Amino acid sequence: MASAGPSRRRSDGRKPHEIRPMTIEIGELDRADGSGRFGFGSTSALASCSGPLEVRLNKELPTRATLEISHRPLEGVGATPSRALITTLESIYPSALRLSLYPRSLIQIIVQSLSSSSAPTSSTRRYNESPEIYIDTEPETTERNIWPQPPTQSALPVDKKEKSPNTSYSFSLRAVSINSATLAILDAGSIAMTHLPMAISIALLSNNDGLVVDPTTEEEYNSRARFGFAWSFGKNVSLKEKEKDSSNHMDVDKEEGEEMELIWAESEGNFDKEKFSDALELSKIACRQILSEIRAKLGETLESKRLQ
Amino acid sequence: MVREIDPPSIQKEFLLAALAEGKRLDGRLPLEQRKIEFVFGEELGNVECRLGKTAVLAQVTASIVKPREDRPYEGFLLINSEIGPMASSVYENGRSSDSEILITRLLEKSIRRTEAIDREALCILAGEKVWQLRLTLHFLSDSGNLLDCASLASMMALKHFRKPDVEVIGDEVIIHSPEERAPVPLAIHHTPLCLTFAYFENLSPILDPTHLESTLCSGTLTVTMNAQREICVLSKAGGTPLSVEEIMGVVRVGVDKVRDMVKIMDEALEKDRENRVVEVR
Repeated sequence: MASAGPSRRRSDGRKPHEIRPMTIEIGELDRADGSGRFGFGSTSALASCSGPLEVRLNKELPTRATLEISHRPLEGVGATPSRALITTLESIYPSALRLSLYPRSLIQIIVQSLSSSSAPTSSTRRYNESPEIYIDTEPETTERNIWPQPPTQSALPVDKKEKSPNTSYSFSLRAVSINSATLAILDAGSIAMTHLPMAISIALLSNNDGLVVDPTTEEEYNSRARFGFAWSFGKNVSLKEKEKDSSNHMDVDKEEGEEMELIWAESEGNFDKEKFSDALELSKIACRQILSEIRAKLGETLESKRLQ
Repeated sequence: MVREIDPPSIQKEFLLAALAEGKRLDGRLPLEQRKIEFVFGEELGNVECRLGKTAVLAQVTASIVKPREDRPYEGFLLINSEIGPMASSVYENGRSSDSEILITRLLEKSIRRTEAIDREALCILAGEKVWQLRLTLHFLSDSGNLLDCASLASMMALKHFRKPDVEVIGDEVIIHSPEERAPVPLAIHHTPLCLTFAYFENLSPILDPTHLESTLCSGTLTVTMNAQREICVLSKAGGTPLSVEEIMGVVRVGVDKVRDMVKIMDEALEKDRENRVVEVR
């Protein structure tokens, strides 16, 4: 964690462990039970949650609610990255929601990406030296001709061989999707939750600049390794607590009397165990910060509703 | 499968009684639209349009493809408009309801078939390379009159979008990145916009029905018009029969409304242009 001094600044003027300004909007969609918009800077997502609803007979489960999670990318139709994101969300939310309370019903969560998965076109980014790369009339490679141009393998510097193919969204996009889904469920208020999942992305910059919290798309593409973590906040969620009941457990937020438990961890790239545990520690702090922001915003929203 | 529950009869009676007095539940005049708002995204061609509580997000992207053999000078405009359950639980993923098909087809008619976009201007190299525009619509919230909102969002996104500048030297095509040369706007012939009127028995028509109004009305009429006083599409699918005078009446109203809407669009675009750092032509 200490590899990057706190005095160093990133290209957008942030400190290494600083999160971009968060946008949190709750309950803007009229026809969904709950909705939330969450963004780190310009990376944002909108989610809606409805339920418990009437369920289609072939999807009905006798002991618990059917959870239906769908995602829509900003451009075109959902492909592999979209599916991967749904799988991530499907691994998080069934445990966060008390589905067994609503048997034979349907709970829908829809996440809409609001920022494209393509590379930033701002002037800060050094654009491709050879723009001709994406002039290609072969019909089978038409995806590469999209403008704004998505980052392609060929566009990357040659020394970054560890880069995985572009089959998934950036970690920051995945993190905002998780956070917006949590907001939507919170806003709906019709589904009991056991804990609140909050996610953050962390990148290990390639030029030995150390770990940065909430990397921009540009930083993520120039990084050596990328991590995504989601922590869940709630009472009695920590596994540690059950082992040593009365003794002081480590992950308790003293002020809230709440615990946190790691619920999602994904990483790619080249890193060692030390870096991973550093990133894990950083993510804890960041997620706490997100939670307190969300809590403040939710309090405001509820307050304004009461006045009406 | 989520079915929509019919509104209670007391609500229906109240709404009809109010309409008979020329009042609407949200305080609008019979021929008044809800407030139009545009939120521009960071990228050019990304616009969220709000019509009251109805919201549609439109995104335009461009790619280079080979034109059709029989139309070597024409580019493509593809419209993706699938309504997902975010708009309302009655819409399902991958299963299109009747109203969804109607909206998709009318959008197709009012944007593609009216030749709002000059498709020949999308040609780069005849028979070899043309631009393919993809307009993706995301229906965020269906609070009535999705179609009008979607047509506004689509036209706005197309007006807001800029394609990269291209240079043709012989057979070689050079695409300039936005940093090198300012991207160019699309060639737009006119701005067709949809206006939906709802009819109730023995009452004068109302413009821009809300969700409740459109569930209770006896029929709707959609006219697509442009600021040049041209009727592009007139669609009336079922409902109460209308006389020629009645239709001409709403068309006359529509002319002024469309002009106002185009003005609102231009003002919003102008405001956005001032806020952008990147040079926009």
